[in-house]
Amino acid sequence: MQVPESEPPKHLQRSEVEAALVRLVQDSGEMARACKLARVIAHGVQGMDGDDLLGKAMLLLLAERRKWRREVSTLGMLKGVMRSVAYRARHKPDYLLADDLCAPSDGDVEIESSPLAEGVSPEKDPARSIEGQSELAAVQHAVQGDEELEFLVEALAEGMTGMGIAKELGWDAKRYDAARKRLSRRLAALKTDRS
Amino acid sequence: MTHPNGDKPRDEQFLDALVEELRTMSDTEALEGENAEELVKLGERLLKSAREEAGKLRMAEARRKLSVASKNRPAFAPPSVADAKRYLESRPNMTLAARGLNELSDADVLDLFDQAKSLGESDNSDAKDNEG
Repeated sequence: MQVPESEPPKHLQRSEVEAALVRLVQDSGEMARACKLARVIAHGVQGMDGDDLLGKAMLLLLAERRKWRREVSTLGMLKGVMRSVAYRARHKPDYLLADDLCAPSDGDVEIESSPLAEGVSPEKDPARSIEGQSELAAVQHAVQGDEELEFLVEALAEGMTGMGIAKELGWDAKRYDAARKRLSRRLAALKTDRS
Repeated sequence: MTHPNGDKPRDEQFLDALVEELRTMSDTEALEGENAEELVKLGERLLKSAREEAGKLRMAEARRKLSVASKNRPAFAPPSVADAKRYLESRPNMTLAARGLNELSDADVLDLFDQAKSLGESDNSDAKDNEG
């Protein structure tokens, strides 16, 4: 007789969060992705650069102040947590994570991530759109002078996918990869732009 | 142009798309402009520090819970029924009902003990008030 398997919990357990973060930091490619994203999101946050922001996101996850839905990728989860930290830091100059860290883990500061859109939806929090403009502006500034990348960033902001953009422009895989490589290099350069 | 996430604002769409681009690019592309060795060192440093901080937070939370629990604990432990009876019998101003202690249920004995105890405390504080 087959024993029905119980469903795993909806959210990652602490040991699983820890394991996911260990995998992240030991993989230079994954770290490069996380750091690039962190630099973009940290743009305009006083006294906090991408590295600080990434470290704070790790802390919130390890301290179980953010629940991590099983189906959300590490990068997707980090994006949601880093955005919420950056949002609070931008709107509250004396923010030092204290609000997040003192709140109970089942409190209302928790922002869950979904596979489609991590973080609070803009409808619930219209101020988020202001914050995002500076993230987009940071990348627009970083790619200035490279017309292909300027278009790529603009089209991504319009909701197109990279593959969709390449198809529309008639780019082959080689040209698309080359453009992404240049975008990646420009994002790496953001690390020196400490606000 | 297709707009798969037409209802989302540009910033949200852009970050979602950027995550997708980063996720689907090769490691070589992702590492463009970066030092792989330094990134791993940075990651280990960030994780170590986050672990330490998270540990401190858990300790602080455990301490807080402990102090809340000890505050909620009653000032004196509930006595046994025999002790409660002895205490009640020793009280000089016992009522007739209290003298028939053996006929009362254990719960009633303990209830009577609580009442006598609180009356006794109130008498004591009244006496102190009158002294002052």
